[in-house]
Amino acid sequence: MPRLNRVFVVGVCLLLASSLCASTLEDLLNMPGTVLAKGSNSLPVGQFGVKSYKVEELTLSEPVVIDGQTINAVKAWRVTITGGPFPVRDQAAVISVGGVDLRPALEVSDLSAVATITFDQSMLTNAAVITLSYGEDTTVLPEKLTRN
Amino acid sequence: MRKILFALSLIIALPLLGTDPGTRGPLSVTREEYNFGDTAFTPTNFPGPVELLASVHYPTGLPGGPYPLVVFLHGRHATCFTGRTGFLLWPCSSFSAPLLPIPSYQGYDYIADVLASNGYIVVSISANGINARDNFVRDLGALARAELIQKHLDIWNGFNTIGGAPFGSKFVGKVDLTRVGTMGHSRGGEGVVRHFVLNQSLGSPYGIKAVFPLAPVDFNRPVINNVPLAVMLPYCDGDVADLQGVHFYDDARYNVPGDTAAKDAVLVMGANHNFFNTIWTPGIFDAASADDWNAFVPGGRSDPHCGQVKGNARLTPDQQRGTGLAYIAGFFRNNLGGEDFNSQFSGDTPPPPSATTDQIFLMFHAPDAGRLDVNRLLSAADLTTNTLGGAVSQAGITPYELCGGEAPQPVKCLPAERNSRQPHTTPSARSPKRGLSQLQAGWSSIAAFIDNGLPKGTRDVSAFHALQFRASLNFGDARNAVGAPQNLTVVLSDRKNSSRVTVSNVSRSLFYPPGEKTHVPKLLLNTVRVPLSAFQNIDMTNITSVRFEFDQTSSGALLISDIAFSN
Repeated sequence: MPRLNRVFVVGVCLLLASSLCASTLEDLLNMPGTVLAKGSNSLPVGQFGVKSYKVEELTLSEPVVIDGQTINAVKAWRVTITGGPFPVRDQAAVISVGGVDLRPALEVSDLSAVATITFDQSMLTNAAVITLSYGEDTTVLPEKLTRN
Repeated sequence: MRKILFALSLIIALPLLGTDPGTRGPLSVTREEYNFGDTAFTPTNFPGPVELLASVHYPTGLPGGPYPLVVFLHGRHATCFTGRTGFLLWPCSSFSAPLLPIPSYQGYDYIADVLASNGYIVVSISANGINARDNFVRDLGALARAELIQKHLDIWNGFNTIGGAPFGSKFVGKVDLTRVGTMGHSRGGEGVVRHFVLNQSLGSPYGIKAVFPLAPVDFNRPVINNVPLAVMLPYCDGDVADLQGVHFYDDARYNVPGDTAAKDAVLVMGANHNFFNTIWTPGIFDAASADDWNAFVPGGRSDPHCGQVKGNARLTPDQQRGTGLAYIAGFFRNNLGGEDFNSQFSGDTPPPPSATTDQIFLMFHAPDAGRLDVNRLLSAADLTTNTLGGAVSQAGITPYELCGGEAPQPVKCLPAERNSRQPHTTPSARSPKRGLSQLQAGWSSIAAFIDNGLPKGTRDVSAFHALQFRASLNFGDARNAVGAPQNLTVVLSDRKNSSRVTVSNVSRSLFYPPGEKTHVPKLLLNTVRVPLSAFQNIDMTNITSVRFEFDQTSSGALLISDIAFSN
């Protein structure tokens, strides 16, 4: 969305003081994105049958509300790990890229992937190692991050 | 008149039946549910609405009363299913294909039934809506779970005062909301602790008198005091494998002066995370259920204690539910119902038959008024001067240092070992708090000892029942023979005499922690409780020292904390 349009949307939302104009993390997990990197491994690895990954850039047209806090970001990035079915556990699934833990991941509805959102792309670099952890149980993805 | 007679017979019968808290009582039980819809409630700042659905077990006909109320809250699990396949979303009707909700809240009916038959109303809450989105919020759903419990208590306040659908006036005047107990499993475990904090912050509209986290997470490290607390820890937990819930116990011990409540941790050997809930147990409910140790732990199946190796020590689902029943029902009957199961929780009596195993170990911290702390072992100063102000001396103890507690202590006691093998110091996802301060002590001579002097004015311990301390065999120290338990002698002295008790004669707590794969063995500092009656010919009104003599084995190493006289 052009910058002026975004400014307009944000301005209207602020005027209305309405959370109706805000996105949630769930919205960001489901919205379309531009693929920046995508693996192709199809052989399951480790305890959870991890296969591959996808990194997408999301263009945000409205603020994002997380924990009651509003984030006015223009871009976000979605990191998805495929495989599974991933168990729904008490110990949170954490995706790490290049040694940086991202916010806890959520299992997609059919448990065929886990995904998380970051507002910082600095770790999404070529050759970064991607892992999926539950506590100290970590699976290293067979492919390193390779940007398009 | 009939009702009065029935109530009187119940009052007479309950104590007689009270030897095993896991047995059914004299009352018949009715089970019902209430459901106000899948999207009836939205917790604060939670990214979606959740259901208000619960099962209720209560004495049929509600003779007498009002009854204590016990609330159960399940943990994080798949929310919807079709066939054997689980899904995570809420409500289930929002999926593109037909799905049914997974009834995790029904998984504790076996406990609810026993409690209700003994005169309790038990409400088990569904929290699928929270499970579907809790990883989106920073506290991973702790506040949302707390608010959901409070919402249900508000509903019960309505049932108790003015009545309401679907029960009409059935429960009016029948619910004692000054005697409420809460049990939460896994994320629900932190939920019930967080709920106690929430209820307190609201002026304690409900009398929460007992809190039981079962195999809980402790992401945020809330601490509660002045309420009886029991944490159940399954040794073969494959989900919350670091047993981080032990922090609830450790953190609460000396948190406030004058704490009126006891704290317990119940370690169940051979138990996993899921089998306490029937809906999470394969063979009972097949969608999304698993034996978490064997399914989640890399290499776990080949572990000789927790895995599938012949001769393993795993409990069957039935046995595991027995342990849950014995200790959950016992805890609430003890703290809400006025029955006396204290010795079950202090370790003075063995597990009751309903527990199905004796491989249960306890940590027990008496209320402040029932304890005389000899040495809390919290800081370096405690290595030379104990909590009572007495001199501490040692000989032949190497190392002789503290670990795991506040800086400058090292964060972990076994730096090379996984966090999951040392739960007392495992880090928390949402808190920087450190763990349990422990004395790391080893010996290579039977002449080694640690002596705590009792200064004048503190020497009358005759009002106490036991001398106790917490200890774990240090499996990371090669001076312990693999697989062999440790032992030592506790010596009490008065001004003239000494009396000695060999620990192995009164306690099994110094066992070699079993297992060898991934998350086991584990360091867990269970309570060693030595009855004062075991010390002969000594003046309990004038004890001058408590000495640990490491004379039972030629070498060894332990981690020790919390030396106290205790009731």
